[in-house]
Amino acid sequence: MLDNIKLGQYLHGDSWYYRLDPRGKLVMSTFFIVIIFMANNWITYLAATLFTLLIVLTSGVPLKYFYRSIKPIVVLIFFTFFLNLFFYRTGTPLPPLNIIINKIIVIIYGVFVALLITFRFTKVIDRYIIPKIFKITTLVFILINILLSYGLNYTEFSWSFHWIIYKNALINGGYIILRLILIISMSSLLTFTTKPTDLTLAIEHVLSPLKIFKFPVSELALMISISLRFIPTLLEETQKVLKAQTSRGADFTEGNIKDKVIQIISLLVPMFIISFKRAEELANAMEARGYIPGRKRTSLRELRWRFTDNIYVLSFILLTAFFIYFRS
Amino acid sequence: MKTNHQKVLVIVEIALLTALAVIFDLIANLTQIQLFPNGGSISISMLPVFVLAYRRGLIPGLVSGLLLGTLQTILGVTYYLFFLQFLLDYTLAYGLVGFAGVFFKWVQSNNNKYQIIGIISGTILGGFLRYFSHVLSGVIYWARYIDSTDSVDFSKGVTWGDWLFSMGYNATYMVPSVIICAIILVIFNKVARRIYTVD
Repeated sequence: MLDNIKLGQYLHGDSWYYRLDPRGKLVMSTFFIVIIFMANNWITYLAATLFTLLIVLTSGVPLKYFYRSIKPIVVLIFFTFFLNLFFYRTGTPLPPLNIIINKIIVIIYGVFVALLITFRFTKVIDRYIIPKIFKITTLVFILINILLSYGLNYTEFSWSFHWIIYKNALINGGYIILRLILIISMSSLLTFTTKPTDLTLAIEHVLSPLKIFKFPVSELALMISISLRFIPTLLEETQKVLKAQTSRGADFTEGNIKDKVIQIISLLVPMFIISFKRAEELANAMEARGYIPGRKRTSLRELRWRFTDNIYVLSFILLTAFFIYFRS
Repeated sequence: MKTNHQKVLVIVEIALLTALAVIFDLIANLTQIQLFPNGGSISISMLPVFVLAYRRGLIPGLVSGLLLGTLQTILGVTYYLFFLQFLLDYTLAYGLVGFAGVFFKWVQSNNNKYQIIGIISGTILGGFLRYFSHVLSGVIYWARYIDSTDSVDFSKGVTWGDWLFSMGYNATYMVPSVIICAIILVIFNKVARRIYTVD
């Protein structure tokens, strides 16, 4: 059950992007998400896409991993796109769709959403239920849509469905999809190419100005590193407890909700007690080695800011300048 | 005045229980239906934050919540749509769960009735604050992000539909999560009281 868990998203590899300073990567990834909202016409979006593509293709991370990180959010992306299609009402309208085409669209949309939801369920639910879920979701979506298309005119809710699609809505929807994909690609690239420990160090450095306000930045970073270090250890313990309780007759997959809660508690209580015990031991060990909260500490790993990092930061500034100049 | 040992112990406990929360999240992802994209799964990952808030008080609870949000970012299980959404859905949402620690004194009291009332109200308070944070993020997403390619635009009004949609969507996973957490936490108080008390 717990064997196929992969912790974090870091992929081993080596390229110019891997060698960049994690501070620069962290700050620039955040910066990218802020500036992408400045893009509002085809030329700025083209620039943003080319820029991201260039980084993604030269980063040495296989494209399938980006596809994998976008996949879970496909539902949200399409949902946003369709809602946008019907709510966005500026610019020139496309010729009004006649009622038969409407129904076809509704049915296709319903089937599409039902398919997506069904695929989500397939992992965990018995196979014979799948057709049932599929039928129900399709039916519900088609019903809702047909109901909405017939005069349910809540002006207060601004839910007036006239089924007129505007040209700008299509373009805007395309931009939204593009923007989401770009944002997710950029932020997953950061976690793909940076070790969690490096990222923690980078966070500590980036937050260090908060030290002026007596904000315990280094303690926070220490807690993050301890957490990261102990996730695999505690996962192993969880596995042990799981096996021990299973051998005593606990069954975590079967039974009604009441049974399940009792089974889960038989797993949770030992886990909490083990964590507290480990905490006691670790605290003693840290104290024995002279750890005092609030004192200045040195680090085994030092981050180094190289020349390529300057170029990386500069490229983002140039992109921003391009956005400011060419946006409408 | 806290001794150095106590300070270190609290720091380490926060770190380990947050690690435990991440593990619960991982287990939940394997065993449960992952239908909602942004953090919306019925999971017990809030449990360690509640336990810490009842065991060590308000501040450790808050720190543990914030840490959980940050940890999920580092591990890359988050969905980053825009900056405010990110803050509201992860950092702030989990951080607010720590407010259950307001009822620290109640849970620590010797009266069994007070303990249970404290646990339940704390769980509801923490859960509600997290729910509110998600609702707010949803409203901003649906009301602002869709309509405007420009940026998050605050000049337009928010319709009731936006609120209703966001509240409904987020309630689908938050309400079961809070109920399950409350049940488990109350049973903890009965079968393993030492989780909440420091000897």
